[in-house]
Amino acid sequence: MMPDDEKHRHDFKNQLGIILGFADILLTDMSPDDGRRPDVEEIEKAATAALALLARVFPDNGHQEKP
Amino acid sequence: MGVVLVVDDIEGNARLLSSLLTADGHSVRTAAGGAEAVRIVLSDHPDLVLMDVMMPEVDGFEACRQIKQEAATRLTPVVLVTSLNDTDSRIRGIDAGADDFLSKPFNRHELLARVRSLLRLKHYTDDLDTAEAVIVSLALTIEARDSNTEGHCQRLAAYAVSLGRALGLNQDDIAALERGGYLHDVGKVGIPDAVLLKPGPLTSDEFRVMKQHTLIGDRLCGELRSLRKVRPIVRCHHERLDGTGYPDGLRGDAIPLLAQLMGIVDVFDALTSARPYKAALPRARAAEELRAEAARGWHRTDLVSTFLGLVEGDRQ
Repeated sequence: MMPDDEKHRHDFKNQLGIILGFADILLTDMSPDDGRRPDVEEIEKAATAALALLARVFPDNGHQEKP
Repeated sequence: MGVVLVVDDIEGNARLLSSLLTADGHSVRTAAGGAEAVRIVLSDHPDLVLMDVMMPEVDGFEACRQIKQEAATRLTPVVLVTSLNDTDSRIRGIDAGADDFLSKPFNRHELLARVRSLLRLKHYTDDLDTAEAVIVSLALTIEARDSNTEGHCQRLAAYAVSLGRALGLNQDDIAALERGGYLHDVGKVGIPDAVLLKPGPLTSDEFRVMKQHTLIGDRLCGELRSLRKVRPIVRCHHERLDGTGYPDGLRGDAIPLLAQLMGIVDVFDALTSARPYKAALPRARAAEELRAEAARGWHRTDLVSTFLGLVEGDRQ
């Protein structure tokens, strides 16, 4: 079975993926001049930053693809 | 556009995928685990399965394996969605029969493009099945056109399959014999009623027309890869070992074995069925007739004996 750290990283990444995915749907549906657009963009930015942070805190050991 | 089954134990993920796919014009069903997914795939035949790998109890690998094991759902494409981007899990996925992979968090455009491409492929394989179904219905239409031959195709398929089994043929050959039973006379669709339904022996001109059914049938099956092994049966089931058969006058081993088998069971079924101009022969008389044809050099004696052994065993 997978070690706890990896399991937590996986669960965390999942939740961030959901936030990012729905933010993306909202941005696609909003007109370019919608006043709420900057707010949703902040959500997307924060989730993206959290994903990057996650990769630093729990490095993805199983990741074997070349950059 | 198609019906996509989304499988994920995390509701947010399933909802995210549903929103994206629905917006792209697909119908979406969801399942919360592997066992439920397999059940839905077997009963409702979705066009595509988009499945998370890490789920409690039955995981994505196991569910994928079960879907790919069933003949009825083997061609349903399965995409495994995983946040494990490593080579090991991809290999496990390929071993389980997965058609494609998506890594989480996924790119929306990549997701939709892959789904569209796999659905195109699925519709294409569905069409292949449908094309074969059309040809089989055509064959049954011919049977309906000629009420004298009712049940002939079904009986032939059954006879040919049991003969093939008795001879120890492989599964592919047995399947070809079953289809061949239904399709051997499909070319009769191109024979005019005046000849096909004539309540009496044919003149030599009429017989020349009738012989065309082997060539017409061969052409009809020609385009279908799935009927590759059936074609020789359709074309050659009226050939005779001594070269007096049609359409090509082939001799001996040049006549494909499956066609020889179909030829034998076809003669037997014709002899034991009534026609407007002749009564049905009792099985024992038909067996004698078939043995006489073999002695005349039309069929292989060993094949005729094996077949008659089966039919005579059947009677007791």
